[in-house]
Order: sequence, then C-alpha cells, then structure tokens
Amino acid sequence: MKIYLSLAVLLVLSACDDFLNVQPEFRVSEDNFYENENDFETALIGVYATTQQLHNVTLLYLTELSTDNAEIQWTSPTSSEMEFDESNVTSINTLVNSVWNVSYTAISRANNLLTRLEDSSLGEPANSQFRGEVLFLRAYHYFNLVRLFGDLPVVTDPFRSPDEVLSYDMSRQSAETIYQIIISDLTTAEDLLANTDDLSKSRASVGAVKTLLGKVHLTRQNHAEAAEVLKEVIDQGTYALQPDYQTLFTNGNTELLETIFEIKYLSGNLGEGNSFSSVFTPPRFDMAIFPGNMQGSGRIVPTADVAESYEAGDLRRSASIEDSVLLVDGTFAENIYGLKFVDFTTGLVGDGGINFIALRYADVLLMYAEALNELGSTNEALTYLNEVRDRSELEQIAGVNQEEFRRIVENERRVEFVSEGHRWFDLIRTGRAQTVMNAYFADRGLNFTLEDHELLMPIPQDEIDIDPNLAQNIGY
Amino acid sequence: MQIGFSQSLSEDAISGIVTSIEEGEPLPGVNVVEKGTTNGTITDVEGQYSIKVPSGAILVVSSIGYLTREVQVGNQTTIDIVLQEDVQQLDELVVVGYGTQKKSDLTGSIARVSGEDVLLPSTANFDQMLQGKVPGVQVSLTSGAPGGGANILVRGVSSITGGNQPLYVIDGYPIDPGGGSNSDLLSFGGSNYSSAGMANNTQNRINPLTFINPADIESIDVLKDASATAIYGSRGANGVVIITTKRGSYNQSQIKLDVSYGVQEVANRIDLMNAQQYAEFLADGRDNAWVYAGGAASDPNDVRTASTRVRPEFRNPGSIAQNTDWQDVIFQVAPVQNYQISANTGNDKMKFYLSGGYFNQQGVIRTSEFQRFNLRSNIDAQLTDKLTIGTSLTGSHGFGRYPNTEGHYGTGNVLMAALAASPTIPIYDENGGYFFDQADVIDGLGWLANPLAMLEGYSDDRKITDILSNNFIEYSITDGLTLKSSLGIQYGTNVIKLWRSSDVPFFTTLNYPATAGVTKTERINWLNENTLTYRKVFGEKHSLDALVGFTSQKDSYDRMSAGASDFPTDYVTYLSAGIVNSGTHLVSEWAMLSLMSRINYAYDSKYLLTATIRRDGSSRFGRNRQWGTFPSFSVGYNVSEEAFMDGVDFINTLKLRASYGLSGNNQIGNFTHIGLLSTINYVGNNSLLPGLVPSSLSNDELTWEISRQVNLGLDVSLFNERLSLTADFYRDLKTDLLLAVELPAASGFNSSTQNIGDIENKGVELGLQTVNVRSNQFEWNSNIVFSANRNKVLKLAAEGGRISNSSFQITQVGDPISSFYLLNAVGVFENADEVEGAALQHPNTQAGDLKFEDVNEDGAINATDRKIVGNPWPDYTWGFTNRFTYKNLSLSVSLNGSQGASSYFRAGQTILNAAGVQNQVILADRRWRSPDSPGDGLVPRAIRNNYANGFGPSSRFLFDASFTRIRELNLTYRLPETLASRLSMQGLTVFANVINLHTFSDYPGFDPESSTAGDNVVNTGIDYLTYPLPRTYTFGLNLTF
Repeated sequence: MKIYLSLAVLLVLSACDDFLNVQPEFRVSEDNFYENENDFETALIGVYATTQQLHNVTLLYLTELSTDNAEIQWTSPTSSEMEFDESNVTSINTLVNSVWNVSYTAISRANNLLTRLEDSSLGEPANSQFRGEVLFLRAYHYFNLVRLFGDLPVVTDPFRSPDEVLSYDMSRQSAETIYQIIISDLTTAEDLLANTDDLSKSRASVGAVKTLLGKVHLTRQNHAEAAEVLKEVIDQGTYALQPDYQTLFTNGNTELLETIFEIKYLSGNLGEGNSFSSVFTPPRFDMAIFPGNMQGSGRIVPTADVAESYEAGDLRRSASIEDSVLLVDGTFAENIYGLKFVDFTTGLVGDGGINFIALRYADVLLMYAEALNELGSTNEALTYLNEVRDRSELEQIAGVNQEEFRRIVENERRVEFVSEGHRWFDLIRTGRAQTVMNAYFADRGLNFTLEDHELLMPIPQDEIDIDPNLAQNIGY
Repeated sequence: MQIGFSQSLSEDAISGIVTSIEEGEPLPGVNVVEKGTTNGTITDVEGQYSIKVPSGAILVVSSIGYLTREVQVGNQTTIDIVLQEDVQQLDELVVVGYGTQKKSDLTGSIARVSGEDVLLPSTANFDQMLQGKVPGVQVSLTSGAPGGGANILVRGVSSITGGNQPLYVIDGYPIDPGGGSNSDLLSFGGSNYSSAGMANNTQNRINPLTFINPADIESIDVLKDASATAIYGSRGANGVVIITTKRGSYNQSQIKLDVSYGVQEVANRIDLMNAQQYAEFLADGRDNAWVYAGGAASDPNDVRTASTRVRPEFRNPGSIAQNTDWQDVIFQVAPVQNYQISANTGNDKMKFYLSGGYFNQQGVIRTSEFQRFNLRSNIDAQLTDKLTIGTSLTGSHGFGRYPNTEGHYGTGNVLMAALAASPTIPIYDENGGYFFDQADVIDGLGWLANPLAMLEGYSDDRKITDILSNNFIEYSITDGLTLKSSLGIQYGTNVIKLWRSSDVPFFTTLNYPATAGVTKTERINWLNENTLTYRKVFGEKHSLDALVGFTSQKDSYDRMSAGASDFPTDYVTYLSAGIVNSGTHLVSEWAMLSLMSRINYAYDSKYLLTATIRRDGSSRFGRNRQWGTFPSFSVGYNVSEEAFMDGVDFINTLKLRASYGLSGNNQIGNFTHIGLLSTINYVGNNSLLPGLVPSSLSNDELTWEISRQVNLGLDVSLFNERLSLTADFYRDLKTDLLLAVELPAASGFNSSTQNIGDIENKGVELGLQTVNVRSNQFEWNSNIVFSANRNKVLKLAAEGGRISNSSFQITQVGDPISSFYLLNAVGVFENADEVEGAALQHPNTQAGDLKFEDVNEDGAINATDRKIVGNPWPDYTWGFTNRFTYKNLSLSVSLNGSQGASSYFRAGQTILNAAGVQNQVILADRRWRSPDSPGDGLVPRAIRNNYANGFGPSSRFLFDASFTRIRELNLTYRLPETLASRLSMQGLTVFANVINLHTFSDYPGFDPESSTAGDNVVNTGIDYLTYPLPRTYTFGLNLTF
C-alpha cells in the first residue's frame, strides 16, 4: 500500500514538474541550435547583419559630419547631430552611444560564434572559412572602435548568464593591446581564408583581410608592414579600378571589380534599405529628384569647402556632388547635395537599395602610395597615385617632395572618398585633424574649435552609468 | 373519482404595511411571498405591499437583516406585519478570496462596492465606473475611446518591468488581462507602417474585460492588503479585484428591462488659435528665423530661404476670410444606446439568472464606434441535501472601429492633424472633394493631408469574442466540512484588421504606398480548483473557518498575423488585394500549480485572527526558483463588542485591524528566463537573407517580485450607523523587482531581466459614509473617498543607478518611479541684458528664447542639466458623492479629483512649439514678442529654428495634471408602487444623467489624465494625444416585472 502511495506521489510530483516546464516552440533557443553547417552560416549572417546596421548612417556622423566634408542643412537637428557639426561632442551623444553599442554587439556575437565553432564538430572547409570570416568581422569592429575611442574593454568570450557578465573584467585596456588583438585576428584570418575565393564580396575574403591589415599597419605608422601586405593585394590581380567612377555609387553596384568589401542593402519596403538618400540630400519639401517628391533630411550634406576642392575637370565631382537641385516647378535652386549611394529610384524614406562599399581598390592604391611615400619612395608612390587620378582623367603629378606628396595624397583621398566615411580617420592618422578643422572653422567665421582631447570620442555616458569603473577619456 | 385541487379557486387581494419593530418605520424592499409558490411581491418605498393569494395561504415575509416571519392568511384583507431585526444578519457579507466572510469578522483591508452603486449609464465597461468610488484604488481614464478601458492601480505603482495590473477574479475565475504594454499606443504611433509593422501591431484598443457586462455585476470587492491578497499568492501583489455577478434568488421571480439613449460630445476641446492669430504667428516665426539667419524682417520672399517665407496674405491677417475649425470637422455629436434584459427566478432548489444586452456607442470622432452583445446564465442547483452544483456561463462579442489618435500627424494621427492644420485652409475644394494643395505642405502650414482624407484612409477594425464558463460542484461531507471542486474554461479570440491607404501621409512622402495588416489571436485558459472548507462554532464562542486547496491553471495564446503591401488600388482594404509579404505565427503558454491554506478564528466575535499561506509554482520562472511561498497573518479587535462599550451608545462598531503578509507579482513574459535567438535580416542575391543571433540571456534564477505589506486599519460607525468610517494605513515594500538590468554593450545584450530592485509605497486611505439628513420624506447621504500614496524607489541594480523609462522619465533611487527628468525651463529671457552672463543652451541665444536652470552650475546648458521636475503620480485622489432623495425623486452628484500629478504634454512639442508652422494651443498667443511685449514669461518667441531648444524636450511641456471633475449628475424618478402595479409592473424608474459634465484643470490638452501609454503604467503621464473623453447626456428607463 505504501509503495502505491509513494508511487502515486512520485507520479504526481514528476507530472507537476513537467506541467511547469513550458518551452517556446515558436522560437529557436540556444539549446537546440548550432548543430550543423547551415546553423553556423545563419549565425554568421547575423553578424554581417549587425555590421550592416552600423553603416546605415550612424557611423557617417562620426566620420563625415565631424569633418570639413559635411555639414547640417536642416534648421532643427538634434543636439547629438549638432555636436558633430560644431566639434563639441559630449558623452551623452546618442550617435556615439549607438556606434559603441552596435560595434560591441557585433563583437560579442562574433565571440559567441567563434567559441561555438571551436567547440563544434563542424568539418572543413566550412569550419576554417567561418572562423576566418568571424575573425575578420571582429577585427573590423575593434578597429573602428579603437580609432574612435582609444582604450577599450576587451571581450573575447561569450556569456551564458547575467552573473558571467557581471563578473567579467570590462575595464579599459590600452589601445596597444587592442591593436595586438586586431593584428592577431587578421593574421589568423588570412590563413583560414587562404583557400576561399568564391564568396560574395559582402563576405570576408583574403583580399579584404589584407586590405584591412594594411590599413591597420598604416594607422599605427608601421609603413613597411603596411606596404608589404598592400602590395600583396595589388599583386593578387583580382581587383581593378572601375573605369566609370559613378558605377560605384549607383544602383547595381553589386560585386564590382573594384569592391573589396561591401555592405549590402535592398529596397522594397522590407526593412533592409538604407537612409543615405535622406541624409545626403537637402531638407526641402519641393524637390523633384525622388519619386513622390520625397523630402531629404539634410543631415550629412557635403560642404561648399569640399565642393570647391576638386580640380577642374575631375570626373569624380559630378558623381559625388551636385550644386543645384531640381524643384517641383521645374526650376533649379542653388543647393549643394551629395550623390553617392543616393537611390533616386525609390520614394520611400529609409528604403535605399544601393550597397555601401566599405573597402575598395582605390583605397589600397592610395594607402600603398602613402606608405611608400613615408618610406621615402616618393617616385614609386606617384605611380600608384596617378593610377587613381587617371581614372578621373586628371593630370599626372610628378616632381614633388615627401611633404608636398603628403598634402596631395590627403586631398586626393578627400575627393576620392568624400561621403564614404574616411575623412575623420585619415585626418587623425596623419595628425592633421586639428590644423585642418580649425582652419576650416576660422575660414567660415565660426567660433568652434577641435581641441586636443576631441581627437578621441567620449565613452558613452550610458556605459559609464552601468559600469562606473569605466574611465572616461580625458577632457570629457 | 378523486378531484384534487391544490389550490382553492377563490383568491383575495391582501395588502398591508410592513414595519420594523425597533423603529416603527415602514420597510421597503421586503419580500412577501406565498409560501411554496413563486407568487410574491416586494414592499414599496412606503413599506406597502399588495398580493393576491387564496385564503388559507401562508405569507412568508423576509428581508435581509430581519428575522423571517410567516403569517397565515385568514379572512382579513389587510395584514400589517412587524419584523424584528436580526442583528446577526445585519452584517454584510464580503467576498474574500475563495469564500466569503462577515464584515465584522474581517481582519484584512477589503473595499466593497455594489454593482448598482457604481453603474454609470452609457458606459461600456465597469472599470471606467470605479473612479472616485474605492479608497486606495486609483482609476485613471487615460482614453475616451468607445469600449476602451481605464487603468486601475491599487495602492500605487510598484513594478517597473512587470505589469501593475491587479488580478481580476470573475466568479472565482482568475483572469490575466494581459496588461503591461499591451495597450501602450506609444509603440505603434510613429514607427512602422511597412507591412511588417502593420502585422506586428498588437495593442489592445478594446478593453479586454469588456466581456463582463456591468449590468450583471452584483458586487465588486477589492482586496488591498497582504492578508487579503496572499491567498492569491504570486499574483496578488497588485491587489485583487473580485467581481461577483448576479445569481438568481430562491423562490422569487423578476424580469428587468433597462433601456437608455444618450448623446455624447467631446467633453473638452483644446482652444486653438484662429486664422488671424495663426497668420500673425506664422509671420512672426518665419521672420524671426530669417533674421536669425542674417536677413531682415522686411526682406521679400524671393531672397529668403524656403523655410522662412511668409505668404503675402498673412501679412494682413484681418483680410483672411477662411477660418476653419478643424476640431469641428473631425468631431461629431454621437449617440450611445444600451439595452439590457435580465430574468431572475428560482424555486426551492434551483435559481437562475439569465441576462442579455446590447451596447452601441458611436464615437465622438467620426468613423469610430463600438458595439457589443453580452449573454449570461448563472445557474445554481441543489441536487440533494448535500450536493450543490452551479455554473456561470458568459459570452460576449464586441467589435469596433478606431481612428489613429496617437503620435505625430506625420504618421497619420488624425487628431494631431486637425489640431496642427492651419485654420486658413478650407475643408472642401470647389468640386466638393477634400481640399488639398501641395503648396500648403511646402509652405509649412502644419499640413500634410486633409484630416478627413486621413480619417477615411485609415481603418482599424477590432473584434473581440470571449466565452467564460466556470462550473462547480460542492459536496457537504459532514456538518461543517465541505468539498468544492470547480472546472472552468475561458476562450477568447481577438481580431485586428488594419488598413492604411496611400491617402494617409508618412511625413512628407506623398502617396506612401498602402499597407495592410491582420492579426488574429486565440486564447484558451483552463482552471481547476479544489478546496476543502471546515466551518464550526465550538462552545458558542470559538468560531473557526479553515480552508485547504489545490489549483492548477494553464493558458495558451496563439497569435497569427500577416501584412501586405503593393496594392494596385486603394479600393479594397483586405490583404487579398495586395501581396502578403510579412507575417508570423506564435504560440505562447504558461502553466501554474498552487497549494493554499487559510484559517480564520474568532473568539466571541471580539478577537479575530486570520492566517493564510499559498505556495505557487509557475512556468514563467527560472529552473532554480520556480516555486514561491506566500504567507500572511492578521488580527482584528472588535472593540465595540466588549462589555465596557455597551454604555457608549453613539459608537455602533469600532474595530482595529493589523496585518502583515507576502504576495507576489508574476507579470512578466512567459519565456523571459530562457536564452533565445532572434532573426535579423541581411541581404543576399537581391533577396532577404535571414540570420539568427542571441537575443536574450538565460537566467535560471529569475523569480517573482515579492511584496511585503503592513496594514493598520480602523472601522468605526457612529450615531446609529449615520456615520461610518474606514481608515487604512499601509506600507508596502516590494523587493526582488524584475528589472531589465542594463548590461554593458560589450556583453552583446542590452539588458537582462533580473530580480534586483526595491520599491516602497506607503499611504493612507479613508472611506467615509454619512447620512446627513434622514427624515420622513427627505434623505441626504454622502460618500467620501480619499487616498494618498507615496512611491519611492529604494534600490536599483547598481549604486546610483538609473533607468530610463522613456525619453522624458527616469527611475532612480530616492524618487518615485518614472519621475520626469527634463531640462528645467525657468522662463524666457526678456531682454538682451538678461542674456548677458547667463548660462546658455546655445552661444547665439537671444532675448525671447527660453531660459533654463543651470543645475550643475557649469555655465552651459546641455543634457547634463536635466533634473527631476515632477512625477506622474498624484499626491492624493478623492471622490465625493452626494445623494438626495425626496419621496420618489432622487438626485445624485458625484465629484472626483486628483492632486499633485504632472503630465508631459508631448503633443505640445508640435502644437505649442512656437515654431510658426503648426497651429497652436491659444497659450502660444501669450508668447514673447519683444522686450516691451514679453508675454507671460513662459512661452518663448516664435521662431522656426530649434537652436535654443524651443521645441525640444524640457519642462516647458510639463504641466500640472491636477483636476476636479464633476463626474456624474443623476436625476431619477421612481414611479409610485400603485401606479406601477396598475401597469402590471413591479417597478418603473426613469432617469436623466450627465457624465463628465466638467473638468476643472489647468492642463492644456484634452484631459489631464490623457496618456498614450494605456496600461503600461510605468510610462504613464506622457500625452501624445489619445481619444478625448466624451461628455454624455443620457435618458433611460428601467422596468421591473
């Protein structure tokens, strides 16, 4: 009798526990994922998607609007936007917060995937390829962060519970430590991706890894290493300059010969479009340049300064900047606006379908030229510089010294890469940021200045609120 | 041959008066029934009755509070009956969890309202009727939408991430209304009109409790302190509202018919500028912006930038003939009708209550409406001496259509469009169509589309169907020992059909493509409860009432939605006319098991003791913390029962109560403790490529929020019950608060939900009922309700931590939840001298711009100067009802009010921004114009430029939301008994009624309680416009047969 009673009780108790064990059948949980190649690829796409979010305009506020390349035309921008236009960024800037957030989210997703790949039994060549791609993405994001913020928290492990997060050391490590991680990641990725060459250009590749590595070395002023790895990209022979510059920035700019790494977007009101059409064009109700007379928002519009810095006859100008805008009534109004990546085929805000090209061959050539110049080989550097100028049907340059060459390549990069998010990084790398920006402000009679401490962005106040031990950059 | 007649053929009419032996007063409402039959009547206001019975019949005369008498009918035709008070029974029965208790034995804090007392005509749902009626319960009418609901908050807000809704128990069936952010309209108004967004819009517009027909309600008992709510364990922390519906009566029959017709109009319109004021204002704003940019006010339009141009006719406001009142255009006077019929009958063994009703409310905004059908049958049957069964079955079907009334007009808010539109624009064009001129958009006249076109182009159709059936069987095992077992099921479906045509603009994108979305949800919830009760009185003095129970409940929620775009025309508003390219399907469930026990002990009706304990297990919580225990303990002392109180005549009852207990709050998502992945899309070969990323961190330690509450209470009645007071003092400490603890971005998650905070609510509640005048013909009684609550956060996740509840509110230690955290606008710079040396928000700040407080005294005004400037919680709320009765006429006046709450008029950032674009609330006419004409010192100058934070968030838009409202005026006339019986009716009353006659308040919006957050109480106090409250005039009659 007792047995039956205890059996009954046991039965009831176990049924009870089962009764309370309710699982969400409509969601994937971490317990039943990460099993096969398809799972890992899907997770990898997630990391690329996070990268796509970063580029859908926010990063451009920090890299273009903060410079003499762009300004705000809208009369009522948010304070966060104004802070970049006026070189007065504060720690509560929402755009800075966003860049920090999205970049670290991508890094953490990359860490999660890397650990799971290493723990899994996934075979070759998928395992190496995926790991290579993940390492590239992690390095990509750390590189952006370290250039923008300096010392950073280093996270290389995934988390499985809130306690793990709270007990992790998230204090800021020196920029040098970060760079070591970046270089190590890229070097490993180079090997892992050595045999992968048939992926889309929106995915990582050996060329992308090497280009990024070259940029890293250049930023750290290690010109010999930079030149070496960039030459390897040139010698690969898989990339060439687009004969028509404009094709890089209009509809159909997918898988171009010059593209090394692109971020894809898609229109069709599916939530995968971009907002470049909005930020680069004027905030006018009466424009007739978009279907349905869609309005622009005038947030990151090219300045008169950059418009005037093109040499006469430079083919790049008409693909990058427009001086007057067509109005509804058929007349033109004088109003500068940007053209790159602006999708004139869609009248829906935020639905632009043109891809963003993050790394391209022209960048490799100009970086190589810059490195060579710093190593003293100015004449050899000129060859590569002129290759880029050729494409824009500009005169070849000859007979300049190292210092003059620096100015020339700085300006060349400026007009080649306007609106593409290079300017801020270029000015910081060459130590010219304050000189250029303060001259720009003075020219325009604006009493803004780029101070010493403003060469780094402030750590977002939200992050410091969460972890008071996180030290803020000096001056903020 | 046997002839058996059970009744003699001759019947006589017997009449007489029933009076009370103590007072000698006539007693109305006394049942006089022919014994053994259903032939009965009720005494009228003057205690008179009349009944036809055969001679020799026995009359059974009974009434609550009096001993029943039986009188044999002899030859007399007049029988006056005197009834004796039954002191025992004079005691009201109060519904507690899982049972009832005599009011005199109660040790917890429970407020009871009778259904008839709160019933408001022309109102769809009972929660809207409770405002100002129950101490300790704050009822906010956040929206006036037909069929919408109210927010009920018992003893303050105490949860940030979990819900704050009380538990509703309908005839013993606990209902989870799925509150929290379910009706938070902030999350849709403004974001996503793509097909995916339309498919994901799941907010409630119809009150989920609409299946409870207010006419069916017998009583509402609100359990407030832990002693009363602990029996509901993990769901009791926010209070429990127990609704008991009418059940038949044995040996009685009655049919009731209620018919009413009302007319509604918007109770309070916003005062806007007229065409002349607007024209002057627009010119002002544009000129100032142009001057700021370096020009001169006299410059002609062709040298100005597009945004600073002024139409020539606006330079001469007097010449403008057109003066459109856009509120007039979208508002209408709307009828509301209510038809209810109920039958209440029973014999010795069975009683039935059957009812049906139809409610039809047209909305005061054109195209909106709500209709509902209700049916109910409550049956109780005594099968044998020991066995009783019963059932409560109700079904309802409601449907409605709602306009988009929240957010910016750029996202289709037709209410904002009507407020912002320039009064200089006509309604119709010369062909009779809706007027539209693109030039008005380009010139920035607060115009994107004609509001009538927007009303027509957007449709939001809702349907809600519910069936609730709760069935019990009760077996009396031995004397005092009863076993009760119940099985109930709730089935509900909900349909949302959304359509947005290309006539509805998305900011300035004209012809934004049409999209549609449909969401269908189905919910099945079953409940099984088993209780064993033991009631016994030992040795005359010891009264014991013990309960032991076990319950299980499971809920399954199935939602499917689809969205479509690419509609070739706007004629057909269904998904079938477009291409379905978005949608989802999910099933979400929870399960719960509970054990409970309670003991009530009373010694000589003087010393009272109650102890309860409940153990709950829920599927919502982490593996390690799935079960929780909730005990409570309370004592009561009926001082008035003591011998030494016998001499004190003027005190009728005096009771002291004290209680302490634990209850819990489990209102979080069903799967919050599980580590889930979410889709995030990328792009492949010209098509979507889905990816999966971790979206939540698993947490095995996730558990309930726990509320520890102390309550001290006092019940006193004096002067022969002419003055009754109930007072409660409470302190509630809520710990283990579920907080979305923000995690560093480097973790990859924004936050994880953990149990980590502490919040305190303390306050006082008073309920006072007085009979001020009582004479033969005239009676005046009053009912006063007062509640004051203080909310304070004691602990958050991190030392000095802070949570942003919204862009305007934060929660931090030492202040109430969701306090407003804004730049403090302290006035306007009247002249250039004032600007000199002051802390400025922009280097070019000038006279006429806002002046802000430099909180951190660093000489600059920026976001670090934000500070707490108020909170959305009232210091106290009150209700005051007076009822005057003169013979057959009765007048009742109800007032209620709230003091101390603030509300952020988010809509003001559009219609009070002084930009010179949108039409403005008339307050903007008192703006700064020049140093000689500085206005009221609160509204800055008109300028179409936000460099000085003129239209950004700041305390400029924070207003005092205190108010006093004349909630109801009711005049009722009851036809005298004699006239009524001539019409063969038991009773007939007619009434005239006004609801929301006037609200006295300084708030510039439609209503001071207006809140776009719905029942997401934590975001309360942000008014981005919602459906305005109506003022309703109703006429009706009630017939009883």
